[in-house]
Amino acid sequence: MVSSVSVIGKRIRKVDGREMVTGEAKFSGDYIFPGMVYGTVKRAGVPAGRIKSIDVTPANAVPGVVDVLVAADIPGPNLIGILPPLDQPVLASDEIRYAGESVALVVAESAEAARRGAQAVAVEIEAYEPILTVDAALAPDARKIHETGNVTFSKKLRKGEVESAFERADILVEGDYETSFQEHAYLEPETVCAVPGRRFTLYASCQSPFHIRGHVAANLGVPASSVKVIQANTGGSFGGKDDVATEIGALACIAAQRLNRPVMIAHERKESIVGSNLRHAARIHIKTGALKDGRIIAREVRVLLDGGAYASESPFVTMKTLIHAAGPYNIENVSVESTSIYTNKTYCGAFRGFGVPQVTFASESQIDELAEKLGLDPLEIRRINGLRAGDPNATGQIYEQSVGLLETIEEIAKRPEPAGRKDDDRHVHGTGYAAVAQGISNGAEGIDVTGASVQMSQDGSVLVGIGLTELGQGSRTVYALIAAEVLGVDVDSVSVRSVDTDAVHDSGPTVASRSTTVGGMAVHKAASEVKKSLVSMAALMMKTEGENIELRDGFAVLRTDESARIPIASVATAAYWTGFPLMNLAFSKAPEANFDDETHQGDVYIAYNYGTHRMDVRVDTLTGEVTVLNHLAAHDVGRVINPLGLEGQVEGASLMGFGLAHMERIQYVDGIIQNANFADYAVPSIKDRLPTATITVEDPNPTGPFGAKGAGEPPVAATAAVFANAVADAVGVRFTRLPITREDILDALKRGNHD
Amino acid sequence: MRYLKPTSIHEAADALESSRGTILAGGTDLCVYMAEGVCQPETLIDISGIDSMRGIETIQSGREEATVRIGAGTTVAEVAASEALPDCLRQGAQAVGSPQIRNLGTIGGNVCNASPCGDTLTPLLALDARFVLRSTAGTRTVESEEFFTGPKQTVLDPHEILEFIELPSASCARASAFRMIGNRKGQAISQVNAAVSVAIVDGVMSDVRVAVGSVAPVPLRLAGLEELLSGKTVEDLHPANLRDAVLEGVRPIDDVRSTATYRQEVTVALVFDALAACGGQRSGQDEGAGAW
Repeated sequence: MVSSVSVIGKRIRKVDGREMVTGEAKFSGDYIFPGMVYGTVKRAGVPAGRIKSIDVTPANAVPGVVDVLVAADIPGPNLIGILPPLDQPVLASDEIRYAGESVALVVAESAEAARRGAQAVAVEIEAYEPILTVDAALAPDARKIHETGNVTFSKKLRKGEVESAFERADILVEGDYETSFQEHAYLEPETVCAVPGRRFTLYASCQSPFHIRGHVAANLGVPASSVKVIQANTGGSFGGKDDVATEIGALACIAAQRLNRPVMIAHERKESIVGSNLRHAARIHIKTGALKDGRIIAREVRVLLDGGAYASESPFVTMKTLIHAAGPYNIENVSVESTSIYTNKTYCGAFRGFGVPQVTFASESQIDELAEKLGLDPLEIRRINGLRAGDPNATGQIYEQSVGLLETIEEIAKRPEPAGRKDDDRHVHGTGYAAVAQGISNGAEGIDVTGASVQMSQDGSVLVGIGLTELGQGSRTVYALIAAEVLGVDVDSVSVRSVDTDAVHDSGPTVASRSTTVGGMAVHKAASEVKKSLVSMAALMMKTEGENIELRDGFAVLRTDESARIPIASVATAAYWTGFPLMNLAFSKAPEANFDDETHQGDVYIAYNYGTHRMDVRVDTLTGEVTVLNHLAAHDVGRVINPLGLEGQVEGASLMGFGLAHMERIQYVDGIIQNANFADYAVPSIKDRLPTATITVEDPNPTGPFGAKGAGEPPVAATAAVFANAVADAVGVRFTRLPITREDILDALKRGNHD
Repeated sequence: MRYLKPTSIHEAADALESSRGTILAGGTDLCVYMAEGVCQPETLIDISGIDSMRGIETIQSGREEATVRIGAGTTVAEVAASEALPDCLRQGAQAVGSPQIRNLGTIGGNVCNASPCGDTLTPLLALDARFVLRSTAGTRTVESEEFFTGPKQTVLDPHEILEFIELPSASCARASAFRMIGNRKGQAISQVNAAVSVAIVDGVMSDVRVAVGSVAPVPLRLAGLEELLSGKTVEDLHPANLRDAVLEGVRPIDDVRSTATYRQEVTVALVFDALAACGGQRSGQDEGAGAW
């Protein structure tokens, strides 16, 4: 595509950064409408059972309570979910499948009264013995959590012949690995505000407004066109504000319809942890066979995901683990079986990384174990086996370009060892490496289409509309940069509007690191169409041909004589009065996935982001405390659109991976989460931030704007894996379970000393 | 709910006597309990308007030696920033919650909440602090070590208010240090904390006070360890030498924040680190770790 650029690649501050940090930006909870009332959900409180009765009379008696809704009050099918057949009720009417299950909505004049009302709802539940582990769920005589049984989704990937390859292998390594549930822990808990009228308007802190619109309309029993969803500024999502936003969005709209009053539902932190999806806990078995020279010839993986009470994104997370379990390596024989399981726990769904962190931790741990057995340097084994352009990956897909894994390895290899890491009688040091590949775009999860509009006003300013949401990841800034680059205007003259389902095209969900890649392509196409009008107009004005016109620095410039230039505002005004269109709605459709459903061989993703990380740690052998001294994160991102935004994504994703690897653990006792607050659930604080240095490799991706590809997710997986490998190197003991807490480290040191 | 806002300690004592209400200072613990429905007071007595209960001063009372007096309504942030106070207390205050909580919360509130993991409690024990309790009948003084009777339980009668915290000047003259460990580096609740106060002359330790928190129902002094260390030199300090005496004194439990075993292990390290800091030695943890 374009090689000479003017704003792409510059360090640009977020276009909406100022309003965010000054408090000017409005979030869902900031909306106030006349007559607004507040809703709070009554939750089951027991992990499994059957509702015998719900008595709402005591709640109605609470001062301030204006309405109480139960399942029977929902006009539509009372179902939400991601993939048909939908399996999650908005309000449970019969079976209770997890403790956070919503059974009634209490609406009151104040949030406090609604809370008191919710406490007063009397629910009689015949409790069942909860199914709390995947083993219990898979037991032959296990109670069925859903009519379909306890297996949510199960798929196989088959490439080559692993059995015979294992027989040929010189070295075999085999092991089991586990990861814990993880909470998204966004700053802003889920909040929606529904305003009734001839049509419904829903202001929502959410990730995918069109997905919400569909579910809200269905459960209201109205056409989708009767519902308008406006994404309010959203204080983080990371995959966590899809399912739950449909649940509370539908409830708020139904209550607003009944009362003809605006209704706000704002989750408390505890509800945000207990009553919305988590990252799947995983149990992973891997067997790897290699030749003496270090070449991996076979890999067999079994993944079991604990998906909790409802399917949510489990099928797609299952697919993602299936496709990524072999890692970023060229392995001829691969066999993977991945299965997600229902249990009586909070449902699991999308979470930045989407299954890749779990399998990458397991895979990269085993790669290190293999390297040790082979006497190979950890970088060398990754170098030997790493995917190169032209190599078939686990699904047999071959990319002829934009496979920058080896370059990321070399970037890491050439950085010097940090100084001052000397063990003493109390501290030990270690260094770890990990490599990752993560598919970009919906890929196996379905068709990937984005619609974007670009409109230029007569003053030369630009308005971009797209159905993908800004969640803090910086996508608005990326779109502004792309439009500015194409149209030759300053970034400040581009506005990217908020997502309003009335005003932008359905662009699918904001997931899978696809905003820059797929969304950016649509913006690029729409802007290019507007550019055609401007170029044609400028050519008329300069009495030349369009090919002689260039748009840059706010001017239409004659290529042969740069002093001949017309301000873009003048060109736009003339174009308007001449009748050239100044707005365009363009679609970007990613090449469709094309693979065999039985073997998962074929083309899945439009690109992969590849990365290699290195981490140096110091471990205090008396407390188990880990100090990260150095963290290098090298990723092939195709082309950097905004280095500042990229660094933010890499640093933030890395810290989330670190939380998963070291600190965060949802603690269940008898199906009840014990630490549903930030005092006891240890999400990293600003003081725990890593010294992450972002290193970029640019191997242009032909399917992305200016060669770019997504980067928001892959560092989660790489950091989780590299932490485990660094700590193992320091302590001399391999950990097979995340998180590796200080307690685990101390325990391992003690056991190690006694051996 | 009734809300009273007295402007003097006498008014507050009268109000408490007549209403048996609940004292509100910074509200950083109480308001959480109220929101969770753990506590639903009929009367709130807000003591944040009592000026005499705020501030830190050195008082000289005739025959006795000088005492540092901290008003119970002094904020945790003010304690953390006060150069008049010993290191361990300032460091303990700095480890409480977040900046917002330290700006609102008071040292008296931290003491009266009596959480076994309260970060100002162990420093006060190590400094031989005395608590001055006020009621309509007058005042009585209780030694910090006698004050705590269980998790969230103290010797305070329902009609008493903690008015002042007094530190003997002798304890203020000793070297001191505080160390804690939590589930993350900032805004963390102590899994274990330790405060040490010790006189060191020519490298020899005397008047040793070691207090540890979150390892028993109340913050504890480790008398056996104090005795063991007395007369020893700073150079001879080694975690292994402290271990038995520390473990003998503590009786931690497993809970959502940590395990008993880990708490035991880490108590040894934190006590050592605090002692080493008093002796001016480099130790495992940087000063003030745990605070943000």
